[in-house]
Amino acid sequence: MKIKIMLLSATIVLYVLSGVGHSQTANSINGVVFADYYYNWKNSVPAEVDRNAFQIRRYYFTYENNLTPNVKIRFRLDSEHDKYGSATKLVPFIKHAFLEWRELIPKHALYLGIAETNAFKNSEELWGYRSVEKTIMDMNKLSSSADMGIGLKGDFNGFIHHWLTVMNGTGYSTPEGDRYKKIGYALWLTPVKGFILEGYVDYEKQNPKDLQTANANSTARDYALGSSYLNWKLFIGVDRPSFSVGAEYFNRINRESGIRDATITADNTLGDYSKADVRKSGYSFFGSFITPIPKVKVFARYDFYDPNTDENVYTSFKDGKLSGSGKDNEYGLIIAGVDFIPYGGVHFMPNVLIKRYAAEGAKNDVTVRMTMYIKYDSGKIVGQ
Amino acid sequence: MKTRIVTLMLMLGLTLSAFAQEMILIKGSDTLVNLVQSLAEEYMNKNSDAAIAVTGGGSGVGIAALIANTVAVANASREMKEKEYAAAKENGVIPTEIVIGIDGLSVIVSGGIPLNSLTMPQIGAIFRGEITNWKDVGGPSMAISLYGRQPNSGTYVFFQEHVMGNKDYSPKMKQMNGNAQIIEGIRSEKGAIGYVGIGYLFDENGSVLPGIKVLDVARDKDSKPVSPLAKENVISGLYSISRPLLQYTNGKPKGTVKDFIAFELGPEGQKIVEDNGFYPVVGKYMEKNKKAGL
Repeated sequence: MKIKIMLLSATIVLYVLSGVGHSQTANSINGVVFADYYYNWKNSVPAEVDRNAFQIRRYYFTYENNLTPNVKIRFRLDSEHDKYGSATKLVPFIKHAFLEWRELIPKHALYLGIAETNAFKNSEELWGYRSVEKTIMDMNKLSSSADMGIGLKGDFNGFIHHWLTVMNGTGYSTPEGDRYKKIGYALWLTPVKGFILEGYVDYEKQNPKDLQTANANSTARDYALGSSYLNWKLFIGVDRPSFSVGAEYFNRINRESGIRDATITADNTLGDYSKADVRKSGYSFFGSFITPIPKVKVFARYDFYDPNTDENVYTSFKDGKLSGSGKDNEYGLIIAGVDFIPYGGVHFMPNVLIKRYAAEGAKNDVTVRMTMYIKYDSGKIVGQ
Repeated sequence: MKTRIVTLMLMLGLTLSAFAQEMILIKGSDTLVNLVQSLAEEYMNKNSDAAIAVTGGGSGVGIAALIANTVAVANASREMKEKEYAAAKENGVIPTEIVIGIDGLSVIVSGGIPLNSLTMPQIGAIFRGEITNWKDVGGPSMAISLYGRQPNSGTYVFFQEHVMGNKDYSPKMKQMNGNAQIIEGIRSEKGAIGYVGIGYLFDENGSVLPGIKVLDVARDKDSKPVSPLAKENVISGLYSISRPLLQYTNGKPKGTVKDFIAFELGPEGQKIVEDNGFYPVVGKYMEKNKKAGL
């Protein structure tokens, strides 16, 4: 597989460098790399304290080809180091492989393939520091940043925009596992330049008795045992030349993926119980500012996440014990850092992440990092 | 001994400071390059301490350099795009837009073409390759040969957006490096058409260069054709393809850069703008410049 990917990458490079192309064709190779050195100064898990490493957190290798001004293909490889101590080597896999067809419907673009999703694209762009941390819904795996399916994105009159997706719902790295599809819809308004107000909702039905769904359970997704899931969120943002600020709130319901009023038998098996919905919610505030010091920006964020809002609902039963209840399981996350940009596309970002758990007696996680972000772009090098 | 060391350090310091003279780098639009070079030369004549280097490459190249924080000023014959603003912000750059002159982007044809005007829709159709023979727009039966700029040119983008309805250029269009090359191409070929900044149309005496004809342009078939050669037509916006000539800086201009731009916008600078065949800044553009602290 790796050899195939390497051969494919080499073919693409040779194709681009050979200058093959129509006079109106524009090809480019671009991408980003972000890596960091991190040090766990404090951690709620004792074994994690003092852990430190250099790590590649993401490597994107993207090839884009504008077949015509309205038709583009994108192929993007994605790679990152596995978790600390893993024996898994750095392996590239496909993040994007799609056809973008603009103006098939006026003022709209159609996406076919493994493409970006609409759950948090706008908030991620406003946050602008994906290299430091994913936005709250992405970080907590409430939706994937890319998926396989169909998307339609456009605007009606310049300030009402929308984006519909019909996707597998399994993310970009795993195949479909059931007969149902995830439907997502984002609607956002930009009544004045630099201001955005967005509402988003997605839904996917699931059937635990469905054989295909049963296979999907092996992926250990928390909603796999439920009958459906639904996310909704609100996002508001202000984007000015010298600063950006944003806030988002989301809520998720995993229908019948939890249990309540459970009894445990003498032989430590699950007795009577009622099925229950598991609700999750969270909010995030973030901002970044260009400072008066040349080439220096600062950024900060606060997240609050509650993975189960009901303390009487449990999400797991193992070895005779119920766990995953909503009691004291929330956490707050503070992120702050400085962005030094010595040259366009090169960023050095010392930053700190402080995670504060609600559980009594739990210690905070404090991680300090030096994150490096590099953006590269071959430009439009063919036929121009 | 101490005195010698101090003297040596002072000499070294003075030498280094001489080398450390601030060089203002200006890059971008080929439409503006000659004009801004003229402005820089005159400014440096009056300010012997100033050092300004002006290069072309196209508006896109200049804007990319500003975004990368490698130049003090980007020359542009088009406005920055949303994506470019976003990229600038990502790099901690806050672009400030300044208008230093006005251009009547001129449609020119080979001297032998017996036409005086075209409509905007006709011009768009010609450059999209939908009309390929002069007889279809009232001219002789002769194939139309297209001359234009390269995609990194602001003029290429401006013309595409404002004249061609953002549609694609004909693949048969010859993509030239600069305005002067377009004029040379059109002068040397029968049946050719192209577009250039108005500042490139004239010889040293202020007459339109021989071998080319500047067409009047009508907004549509019901409108009266308007010439870009009349100043009032362009600065009033009556001429359909008039556009501001722009410079971008990172934040509000300061120090020598501010002083230089103030010179460009002053009486001497604006005279140089006119001497180069372009039109001076007026009206709403002056108000815009004031907001930029100029």
